[in-house]
Formats: sequence, structure tokens, C-alpha cells
Amino acid sequence: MKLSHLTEPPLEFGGAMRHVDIRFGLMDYGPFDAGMEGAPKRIKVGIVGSAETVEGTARWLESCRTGFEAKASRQPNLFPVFPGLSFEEAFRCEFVTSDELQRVLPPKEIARLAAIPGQREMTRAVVESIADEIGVLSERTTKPDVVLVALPIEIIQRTYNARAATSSENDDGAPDESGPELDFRGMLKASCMRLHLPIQLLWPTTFDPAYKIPRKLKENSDRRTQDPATIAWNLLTAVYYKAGGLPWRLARDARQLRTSFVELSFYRSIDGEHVHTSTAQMFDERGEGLILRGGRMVESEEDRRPHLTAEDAYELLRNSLKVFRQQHGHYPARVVLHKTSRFDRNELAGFHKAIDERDIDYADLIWVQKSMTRLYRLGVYPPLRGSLLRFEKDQALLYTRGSVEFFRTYPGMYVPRPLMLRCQALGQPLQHVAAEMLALTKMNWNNTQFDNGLPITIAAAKQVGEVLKYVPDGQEIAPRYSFYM
Amino acid sequence: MKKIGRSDIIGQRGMAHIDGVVHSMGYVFYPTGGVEAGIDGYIELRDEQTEVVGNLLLQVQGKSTERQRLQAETDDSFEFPCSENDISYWLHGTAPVLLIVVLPERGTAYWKSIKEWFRDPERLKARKVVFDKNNDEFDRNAKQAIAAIALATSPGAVAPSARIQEDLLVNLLGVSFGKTLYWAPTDHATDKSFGAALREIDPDAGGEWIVRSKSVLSFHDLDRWPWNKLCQAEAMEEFGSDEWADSDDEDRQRDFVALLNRAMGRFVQPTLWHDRDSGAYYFRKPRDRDKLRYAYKSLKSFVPRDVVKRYGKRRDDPTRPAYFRHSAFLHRFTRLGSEWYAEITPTYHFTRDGYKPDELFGGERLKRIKELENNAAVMGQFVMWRHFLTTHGTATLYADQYPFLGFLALDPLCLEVGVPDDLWKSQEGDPGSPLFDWAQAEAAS
Repeated sequence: MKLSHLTEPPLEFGGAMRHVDIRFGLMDYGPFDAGMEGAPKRIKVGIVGSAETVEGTARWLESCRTGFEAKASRQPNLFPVFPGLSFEEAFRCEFVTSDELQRVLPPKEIARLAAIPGQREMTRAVVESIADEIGVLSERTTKPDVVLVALPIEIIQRTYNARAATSSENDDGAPDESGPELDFRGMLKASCMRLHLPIQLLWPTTFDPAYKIPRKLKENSDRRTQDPATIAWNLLTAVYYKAGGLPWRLARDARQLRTSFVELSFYRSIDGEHVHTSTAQMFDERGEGLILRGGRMVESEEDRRPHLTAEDAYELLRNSLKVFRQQHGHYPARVVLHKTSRFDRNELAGFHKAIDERDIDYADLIWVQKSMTRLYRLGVYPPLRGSLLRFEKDQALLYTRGSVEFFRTYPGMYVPRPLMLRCQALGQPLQHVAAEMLALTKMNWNNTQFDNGLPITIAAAKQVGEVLKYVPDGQEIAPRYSFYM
Repeated sequence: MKKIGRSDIIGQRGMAHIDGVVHSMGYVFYPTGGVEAGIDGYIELRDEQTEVVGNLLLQVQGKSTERQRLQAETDDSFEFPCSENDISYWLHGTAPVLLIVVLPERGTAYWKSIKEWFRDPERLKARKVVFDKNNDEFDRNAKQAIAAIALATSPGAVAPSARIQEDLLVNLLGVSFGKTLYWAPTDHATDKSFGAALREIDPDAGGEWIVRSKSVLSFHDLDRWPWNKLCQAEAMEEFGSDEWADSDDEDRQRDFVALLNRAMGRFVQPTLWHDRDSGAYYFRKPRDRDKLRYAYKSLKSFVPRDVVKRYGKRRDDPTRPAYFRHSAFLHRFTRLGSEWYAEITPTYHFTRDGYKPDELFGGERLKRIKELENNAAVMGQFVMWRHFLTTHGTATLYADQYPFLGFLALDPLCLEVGVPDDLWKSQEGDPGSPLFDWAQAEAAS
């Protein structure tokens, strides 16, 4: 066993400047695409909600213009100021909204929706009603770039049962007990896909922390509202990305191979209870995420978990590579596949066939899991993020959550769980694979605090599955990750 | 006749001392020189390993003195008076200011961060800095604290790493196991039916066997009573355990883990009980007492820990406890590289009366305590379980060593960078946060 530490991977911002931290990087250098052709200059923000929430959200957006003070904290790096919105600050672009970009659900309609009995029926009706409003916006001459869906309390109460809007963190893949209940978020995203408008859900607590949202008894953690600066950072970064901007990318050495990171995952379809369908999420160093839907799963005799047939594995990767080529004009020099379960014999055969067919010399097939194997420090704080324990040349434990030197604290609860990495095909040294994995945890556009537990490939998988399960087979799916996050 | 005053020499000795200490930290010292109004120089932070400098600066005001006795000096402290002009000059600046009092005769110096010190209005009124001789010495060890001050004034700055070497423990134990495995055909198709038949013959027969497709695999010699009554001992085969342990065949590995798990159940007897639902092993409550203490060798010395304890009062009968909390662990046998390890995860088991599981609130209680416990708390429990597993079942006067399973502690692993706990703790914004408050975690538990 060999223990070492990976330094915090830097990210690249405007002017090719680098910083380890997202928010300070944006503040100091602006987004990666600042000054580039196609970078958003003026983002038209649509808003849909009740009279109250639309007005509140518009007011909030207005107040973002002047910025928010840093949270009073002794961790100045963890809770920085939000400097405001202008051509000189953070995003180097404007965020605007106006009456033409807004749609208000009448009180009568909200009351009607909230009164519909049955979770499934009500969710369907709410989704339809909100999607209709977004549809109206999508046909206007001044079309919004992104739509904020500011949910009224009455609808939150009825639609969010056991899940929170952004629960991609700390997910252990535990089976969802809500069973046949419909997931409002996934369904709404799925139904807005055809409108070609990315949406962002938000709760009234965003613009007014005094809002009390009654929760079900089952939910025990209070939803503690973040400080205004953090809210603005997170929400506006997501909006910037959804509007086509590129806030940051992985800082990579020019000598490194052009790599495509692909995550393979399965989700359970809503129509047939036990049918799993596979997807591939593909990311390059720009975090450009592309989503593909693959074949149906088969249950492997080896471990009785969902797997792809050799043919489906081949098809899925072949298509991924094709999409990469359409984007970049060439095939990647290296492919990294992530999966949260073991690659079985058939999958290995299928993937290798697709890789060989394109003469790709470097492939890393990595099985990533949260681990119960842990390290304990002799102190209050858990081990540092970046701690890497190598067992052998193809297996290692990586701390992606842990004490963060830049924040000078451990920004989490309980003792963190590291990731166990097992490389079933190793093209690059394990140290390199692990460093890349750590860097990929920083590519989450939904969160500007960089110490995410999972790499974006895997974090995205769950969100993608939750949306895709509501998109019927045969219907075209949006390839951009913006429509799923 | 030309002269250079004594005070100039004293001042220069002081500067030389500061210069030496700063460089020993790996930082850089730039004396102001030329015209200056009281700031004698600047410290620039530098990463000793990478040699990177990032324009992180601190101002230094040196005060050198040959006085035998300093103002209000005791063994532990002394005072340094400051003029109003000095104070206002320091506090107006943009950079942090260190006041460093050098005692060249004694070869020591002491430091304070002036802006932090005078943030307190009482101190500002008193116009003096009180130095703590034990904590304020300006030497190489002050390096991290100085870096912290520079960083606090410049959010977003990336600090040179705290290059503290530190030891980490991995929650794995080495595993040794019986050298021989026995295999024989049987008429029984399942563990359940084989077990029932076995207990009928000998209620105390060990459980270190498994049944797979009408054959038994066991650490026990199947040629002996009572095993030979239930399998075709004449067809028995003997194997080195390695044939299973080192096999790459997944089925074989699974069977071997199953066998190790059966041995584990036997190994921990009679001290621990097993909770089938969670898979945890936990300390059982003594029949005659409401509490069990277990003394174990922690990293330094033997310490006792309450491993079974009653908590709260029942609403319907306040003389009875609301619940019992038992120290517990979850385990998993795993092969990493070519070695077998047991992964040990400390947890708790909750019962209503020391026996019956607390099905209603157990989950909630477990969640709550996990929210309170930090790295140090969980590490302490791991060290206890490590002590238990590596010492339990060893040979005594009355009993032989358990033959089929044993555990070995692993050496701590050394990491070249670490966490400066004390420094960070002093930065924690919310001292009431249970996450960082050891005492509170203990009190709540």
C-alpha cells in the first residue's frame, strides 16, 4: 500500500488563466469563454411561476446586479463575496429579464392544480401546465435563452415528496422508495426538451429565505438556506452554462492526449417496471456533455447486475466516438470509460472492438464506487481531499471529499467516503487516472464549491437517467447536458 | 570622530535575527531600507517544496531590545507598550503587520499580528501588546500561523501547503486463516438443512462450513465426528486454503468470503452478538449490569470506553431507560492485491432493553450520532475494534487460540502533507458547530 497526495487540480478561466477555485477564478479572470466568439453577452432570462414568485425572482435577479456581501465567516475562501453582474464582473455578461420573457400562472390555475387528487395525476397536470407556459415563451420573437421555473409553494408541497431538487450529491445509489410516484423535476425537464429551452428550477427560498416550506415528516434534514452570495454564484453559473456559456474547463497540458470521458449507466424505465436502459454521458475537457441512449440491459450471470451485451456496448461506444468526431472533427486519442459497476466480459469485448476499430491506442476502463475503506487521521479533521492510497497498479482509493486546504476546513458532515477506483484496462498510470478523476469532480456546473464527491461523468448519470426515463423510446433526445442538469 | 550608536547596532542585530528566522521558514525577507516610517521589512510567503512565490506579503515591525527585564515580565509573558502613532500607522495599512520583539542577548524573538491584537477595543485603549512566551515565539514553528494571517487578509489566495508529515490509519486489518480446507459430498442441499442436521447431533458444533451444490466446504476436518455423520467422508478431499484464497474465479472467492464470514461469527464469541438485519457485531449487555466498559490500548495508553450504556428515560416508566446503545462494527473481507484484509467500519447498535433491537428509533439514533461524530471520534472507535480483533481469542491458560481466523494490525501510513488542525480549528466560524466540538459530541452521545 502506498499513500500519496494529489494537489488540487487547477481550472482554466478567461484568458487561459488558472485558479484552483471556481468562484475566485471567475472573479479574477472571468469565464473561460470571456471575449471569445459565441460567449453570451446578454442572457435573456425567462421566468415562469405565480405572480408572486415571478416578481420575486425578477427582483432577485435585479439585486444580483449589485452583488452580495460575503457571508460573515472565518473561512473567507469558502464563502466569498458575489461581486455583481456586469461586463467587468464575474461572468462578464448581462442577465436580463422583462415582461415579454415572463409568464404568470393565474391563482385559479394554481389552485386547480394543487387540488388534483393523486400524486401521478397532479404531477402530470403541473408539468403540462408549466410546459405550456414555457412553450408560449419559446414561440415569442424575443425568445429567452434559459427559463427559470419559480415554483409556487402550493406546487412544491404537492410535487416534492421525498426528493429535493438538487440531490445529486451524497447519493449512494440507494433504491428510491417513492416507487411509482412520478418525479416532477425529471418529467418537466423531459417535456421541455422538445422546446429546445433549458430550464432551471428554483424555490421561493432563493429570493426570500423567510419562506417556510412545510416538509413531509419523513424528511429530517432542515433545508438550510445558503447565504445570498452562494445562492447567486451557484444559480447564475448554472444559468450561464445553460445559456451556452462555458464558465471554466479542466486545465490540461497541451502535450496530453485529447481525451473523451464516457460514463455508462443504466436507468429504470417508467413504462416497464424492470426494464433498464443504458446511456452514455460524454465529456471532454471543456465539460461539453453529450448524452446518448443505448440498448437495453441484460442481467449478467456473473453478478446479477445490469450489463450491456457485447453488441450494445460496441454500438454505444461507437456512437459516442462518432459524436465526438462531429464535435471536434477528429476521433479522440484516448477514451476513458467510467462505470459504477464492474465491466463484464461482454462489455469489455464490445468496448474494445469499438476502440480498436478507430485505432485508439489508449483506453482506461475504470470501475468507480464509493468505498467503505477509509483512512483516519489522528485529528479532528478527516484526511485531505486528494489523498490517494494505491493498493496495486490498477486499484486505488481516492479522497474526493475531505479536508480542503484552500477552504482550511472540511466542508462536510461525518467522515467522508472515498472512491475506490479499479482499472479494468489501464492505458495511463494509475496516478494520472486518479488525478483526472479528481479534476472531473470540479466540472459540476450546478455547484461552485469545487469539492464535489463524484466526477461529473457519474454525477451526471443519475440526472440523465431521471430525465430520460420520461422520454418515450423513439423520441429524439437532447444531446446537450444542459437539458438534464 | 565618527560614531555609530549602540542602538543602531542593537537594531541591526534584531533585523539579522528576523532575517534568519524568516529564511529558516523557507520564506523570503526583504528589509525596507531607505526611507521608512516604521515598517522594517516584508515577509513573502514561498512554498518550500515547489519554490513558488505568490506575492503574499506581511509587513514586519521589529523592536530589538537589550533590556534585562521587559515590562511586566513573568515566566510566561511580558508587555510591549506602543505609541499611539505607531498603532494608527499599523492599523491603517493594507497588509497585515507583525510586531516582532527581538531579544538578541537571549537569542529569541516573539511576534504578534498587530491588526488581530488591536481589533479588541480594550486592548486598543491599553496601548500595549501582551506577548505569551510559550505561544508567541518567533521561530520556524510559527510558519503556518504566519501563513494563516497572510491568507486571512486575502481571500482566494492559495497558500503554500502545510507540509506536515502525518500518519494515517486505514480501516483494514490483515487476515490470517486456517491453512487447510476440507471438501466432501453431502446429501444436504442447503446451509439450512445441513445446519439443522448438524445441531441435532452436536448443538455446539462449529459453524465454519458452507454447503454448495450438495457438497460441504469447511475449515473443520470433515473426517471427524460429527461432520463425518453428514457427509461422505470417504470421498473427502483436502486442499490448501490458498486454492480458494488466491483463486481468480469469482465463485470461489465468494465461497471463501462466505467461509471467512462464518468463522468471524465464531471468532467474536462470546463477547459480541450479531444483528442479522444490519450485519453488525456489537457488545452484548451484561446480564446483571446496565453498562459495559471495555479497556483497550489506544494510540498511546489504555483507555476505557463505555461500549454498552443506557440512555434516557421511558415515558411510561421513568425508572427504565429509553434505549441502550452498543458499540458495533460492520466488516467485509476483501482481497486487495494479493492479500486478504478485513475492512472494519465502526457503527452502533441500538436496543430497547439491551436485547431487543430498537426497530422504531434505532435508525434515527444512528443517523443523529453520525451527524455529530467527526474523524477523531470514529478513529477512536476503529482503534478500539482493532485492539479487540487483534487480541481477542488469543491463547490463554484455559483456551487454545482460535484456529481458523486471526487479525493483524497494519502499520500507519505516512503522508507528506497534512492538516494543521489547531490552526484550522481557530478559524472555524461557528464554535458551536457539533462537527468540530469534541465535547459536544461526547455529551450528546
